[in-house]
Amino acid sequence: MSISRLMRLSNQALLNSRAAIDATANNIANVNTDGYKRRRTDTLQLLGLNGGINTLDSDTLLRYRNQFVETMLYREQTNLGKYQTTKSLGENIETIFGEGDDSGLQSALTNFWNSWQELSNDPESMTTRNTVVDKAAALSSTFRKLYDDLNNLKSETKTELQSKTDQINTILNQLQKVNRQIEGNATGDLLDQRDLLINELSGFMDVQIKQLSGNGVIVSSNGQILLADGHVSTLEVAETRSGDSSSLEIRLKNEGRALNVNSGELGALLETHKQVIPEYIDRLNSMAMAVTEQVNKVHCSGYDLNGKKAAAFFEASITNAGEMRVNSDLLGDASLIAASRNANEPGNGVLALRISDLQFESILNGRNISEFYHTLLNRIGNQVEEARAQESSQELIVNNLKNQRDSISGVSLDEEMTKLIEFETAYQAASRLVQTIDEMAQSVLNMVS
Amino acid sequence: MRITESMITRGLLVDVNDCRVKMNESQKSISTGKAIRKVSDDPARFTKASNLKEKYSRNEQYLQNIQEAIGWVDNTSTLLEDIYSLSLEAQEVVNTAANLTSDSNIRQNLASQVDSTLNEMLTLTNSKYLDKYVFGGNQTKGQTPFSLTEDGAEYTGNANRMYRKVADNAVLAINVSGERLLEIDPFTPMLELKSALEQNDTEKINELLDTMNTLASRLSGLCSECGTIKNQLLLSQNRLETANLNLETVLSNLEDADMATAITRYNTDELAYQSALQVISDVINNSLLNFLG
Repeated sequence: MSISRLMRLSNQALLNSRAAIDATANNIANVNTDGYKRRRTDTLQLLGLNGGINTLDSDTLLRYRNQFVETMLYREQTNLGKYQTTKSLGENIETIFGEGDDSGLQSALTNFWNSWQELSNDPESMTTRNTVVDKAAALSSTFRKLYDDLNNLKSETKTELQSKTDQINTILNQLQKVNRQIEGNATGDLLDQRDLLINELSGFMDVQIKQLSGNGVIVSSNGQILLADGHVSTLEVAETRSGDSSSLEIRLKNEGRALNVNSGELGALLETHKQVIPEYIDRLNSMAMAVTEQVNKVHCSGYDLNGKKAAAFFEASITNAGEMRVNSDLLGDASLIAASRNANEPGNGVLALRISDLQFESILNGRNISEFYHTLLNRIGNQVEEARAQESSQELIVNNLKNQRDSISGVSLDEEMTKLIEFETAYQAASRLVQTIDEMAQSVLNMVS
Repeated sequence: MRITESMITRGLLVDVNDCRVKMNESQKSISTGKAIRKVSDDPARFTKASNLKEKYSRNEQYLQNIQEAIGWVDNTSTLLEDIYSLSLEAQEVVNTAANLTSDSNIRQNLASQVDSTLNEMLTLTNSKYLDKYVFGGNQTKGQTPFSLTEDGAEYTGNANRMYRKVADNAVLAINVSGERLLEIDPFTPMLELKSALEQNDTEKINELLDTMNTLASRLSGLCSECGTIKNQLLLSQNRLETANLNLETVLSNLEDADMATAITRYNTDELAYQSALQVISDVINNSLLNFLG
């Protein structure tokens, strides 16, 4: 054991302690940094087993991480993104139908049917006739508004989809830059940044990460590669139209292939656009068309106040709820409304009663219009309730996984403080060692002077 | 398990947020007075409440119908009673002419009395209520339903009934059409009486004793028919009012928030919230740094 070797060892001791404190300092500085994984010193490198003295800087510190937990976390975050978006879109639909107060479709329908009864009580009166026209106009405009609101929501969904896709493209580009840098020199900070980006991406859609031997990764989504070998794909929203309906999908730009999106925010938006909203629009249309058709049918079999056979009450042959309107002739002259079954019987209100009774008839799929509407409302309510429940249980799952991840990768200030004291003591001891060896060397030199 | 700052913070924030969500719910219940405000709060109950509200609203309309119908029927009743009184007057005349006197002059006077009774009766049968002919069936406007000719009355109305909806599946016919009056025919006997009196036709007058008797009792029968209609209306009205009272109770049970419960719950939630905040401040302030020199 030569003195110079002792010197080298004590030097190493100092460096080791300094490196450890460096790691601790890094951890403390980044206790609140998003996505930071706590560092520790790489003991193999420290021991200088490759010979020579090694200097360590924060670039070569190792990170604490658990790959398995992180993979699960990505998947569950994708699900959370899906439930959150489904819930909030469902709540939007519920608000559109707005049945919490008395301004919705239900009261418009009730007022409409009641106005026909008033008419049957007093068929000769222009007042009751004008009331019928008013209530019918209110009903039509309610239908039209609901139709417009639902369609607006649908286009907003598309806009949202496009904005999310743009965000994803930005993330992918950043990922590519970071990935390239990592392949050259994998520092802890770059790795943290990459993980953070992947984390952000997972909320939008399914992501699968494959680690390569050289620290790089391949990012793919349900079999479709998004980032690999320095090549990054750009996503776009593509619309295919067939007749009246349109469907959206996410495509890889310039490659023409479609992405298989089941989950995440993208998945929820796509499904709402494709299925959820169109279903409600369909039902709304059925209601509007059924009311128009049936009322017209009965109305045309009657006679107006002038003794003439009545025309249609609503504008006939509508294809959707956005076209529902009262016959404009009636708006100008309510005497054209038929309340009577027979001609020239001004006091005959039998037809008006008949129209009012349509509310009890099974005019839609074997149900009357009120039952049909309640089924629709029930469906919305159930969808929202379910999404809410799924969201909150999913939040628990995600928080749990985050806790598991942080348990390994997170910084605990108490722990770092304790370690700091530990390393500081070691450093003091090492410097003491240097002092002692120096004294030893001095003694040797003094021996021969 | 190793606990880090981020885990503690996450847990605290989630719990505090839960408290706030609960407080928000309770507060909304209190300020709106309703436990269920939108469909997703409880779809099954909401739908039930919706159905009940519709029924309530329908019942309100039926009550309105009945109210208006009662007005009509009362009016018809009064008119029929007046007509009946007139027929009694005519009956008196016949009795007088048949049994008390055979003086031709007095009979002439009686004849003019009958004439004016006849005209009053005509006016009554042509009355309007709210600008509609009462006894015209569905012919409520235009030409008067009854007009007098030499032989009797002519009726230009029809026999149709007026229907009012009093329940989901029930209508009541509330009018008395002129056809019924024509059936009973008060006019012909009176015309005959008038000409018999004018011509001092004692035989005819005696014949008419029975006719007038029958006439009066048939008219009285018509009056009581009207009374029956009124009773049916009142029964329906009663039934509907009771039904709506019950509906109000059921609806309230379904929808309304019990104030005592809601406020208690809010206070409890608020207490939990404040405790959670207290704990946060304690936990966050404690770390090793407080104890190092």
